[in-house]
Amino acid sequence: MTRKAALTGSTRLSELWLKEDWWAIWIGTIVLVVCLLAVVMSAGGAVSADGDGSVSPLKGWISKPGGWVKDPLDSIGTTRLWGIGGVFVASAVLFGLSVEVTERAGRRFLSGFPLVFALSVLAYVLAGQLVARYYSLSYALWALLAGLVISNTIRTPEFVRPAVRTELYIKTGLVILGAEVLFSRLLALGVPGIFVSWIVTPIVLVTTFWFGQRILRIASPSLNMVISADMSVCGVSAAIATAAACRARKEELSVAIGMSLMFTVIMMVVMPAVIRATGMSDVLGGAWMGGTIDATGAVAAAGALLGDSALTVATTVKMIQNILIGVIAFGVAVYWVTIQAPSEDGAQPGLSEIWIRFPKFVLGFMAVSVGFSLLYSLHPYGHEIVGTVISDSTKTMRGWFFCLAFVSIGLETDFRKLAESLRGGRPLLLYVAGQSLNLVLTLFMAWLMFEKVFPNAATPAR
Amino acid sequence: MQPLLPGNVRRLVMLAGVIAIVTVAWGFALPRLSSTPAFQRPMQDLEDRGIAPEALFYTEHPRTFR
Repeated sequence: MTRKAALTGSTRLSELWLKEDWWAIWIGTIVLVVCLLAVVMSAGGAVSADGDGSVSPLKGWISKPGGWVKDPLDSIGTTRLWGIGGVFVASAVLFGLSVEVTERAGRRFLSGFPLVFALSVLAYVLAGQLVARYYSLSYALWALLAGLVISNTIRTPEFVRPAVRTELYIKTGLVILGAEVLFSRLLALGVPGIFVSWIVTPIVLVTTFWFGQRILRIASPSLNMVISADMSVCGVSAAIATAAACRARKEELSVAIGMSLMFTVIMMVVMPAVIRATGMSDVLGGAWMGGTIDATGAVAAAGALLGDSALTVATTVKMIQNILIGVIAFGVAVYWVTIQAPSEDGAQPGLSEIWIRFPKFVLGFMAVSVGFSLLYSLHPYGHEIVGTVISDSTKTMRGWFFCLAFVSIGLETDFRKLAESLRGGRPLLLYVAGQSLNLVLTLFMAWLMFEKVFPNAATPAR
Repeated sequence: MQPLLPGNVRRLVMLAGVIAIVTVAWGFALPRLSSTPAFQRPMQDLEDRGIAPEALFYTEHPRTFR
């Protein structure tokens, strides 16, 4: 089909049910609307305004394996089993329908999906062990490894391949994640928080990307971008969002996440010790760790080692960074379609070309984020409704979809391709250089803001 | 040089090896390690304070979200 033909009205309209990006938006929207209606209708339109009273009626039907210490079966149990079954059925129906409509391959999808889902359950069970949880080794790592082991030993069976849908799972998960990107929470730490998270984070991201392109001359700009984003913003979730926005290869996302998790474990052990040894204040130390340690969970665990004020500041700075991924994913998508990937003839693409190339799911992600932010801020019971919808249902669904995506990445990845992405050690060098800049700049800004300009800034956040 | 085992068998042996390592690590080593106070106490403390160390996003910490 010629590009001109692709622009005809009928073709563009059919994209709404034939393109994966749009299906990610539809599935994400269905999940969010059902979960939202369940909470609103169960409360008769008036959610309790007195705190934590509301519970989603879907809570029992949407679950994941939990934590365990000695017996892996403790992570599932009878109650969770129904919830896991509920997620399996809902995912099989929604994704199966999308594959049937787009490729007429719904049945083949359904024959492979149980194995992909079973590997996701395994990943959650492995991640639920107390030691793995303590070191923030989340399901993303185990899902990736579970898939990699299969594809690099017995090879991914042919019947499973139709259910290996990395991009569909990731994009749908991201649309649902939009509900958790609540812009009104960006101001949680006031002006100092804005400086530490809004100013330093984009500076480090852009500088690291520039360093990778111009100085290290990393061959793949998308690998460079994913590493820069996961290091400067918030680890795995930022890596997922930017990888989808700049259409990074699957092994590039794996490399970025692997490095991020490795440095997270090192930093969550070393940074509290350095902060204690240097006599740094808890607030300054918390802000420093919140702005630099990649993984959200590890930031909180490291902050807790220092004390309650460090924990509060660290988690709030990281929360602001978490919310920034909405803006960053949108910015990366725009940059990629307009500047980084010019037309075949080298000219800057026109508006219609930009629209064709633009990853549409990012629009769904942003729309959901704005919608839920408005609901959260403007509705009299917004905090309660949004809180219940996310805590009891959508965050679990989003987690499952990311887990399915990581299993799929593993099932599609050859170890040799991973090694190619790491060739010459340049990605590692990029991470170390970017993180060093991040450590210095964040420490300076946190010191300036929390110790000199607004020394009492952390008090209202508590 | 000819490999010791045919391709299919070699792959099955590799998979069996990984399964054995996972079984030993998650079935015996990690449960034993996590029974020590070095892990149990701080983990309990984190949970009491509404922190999920495995969180990917702030909404997974009860402390920062609800």
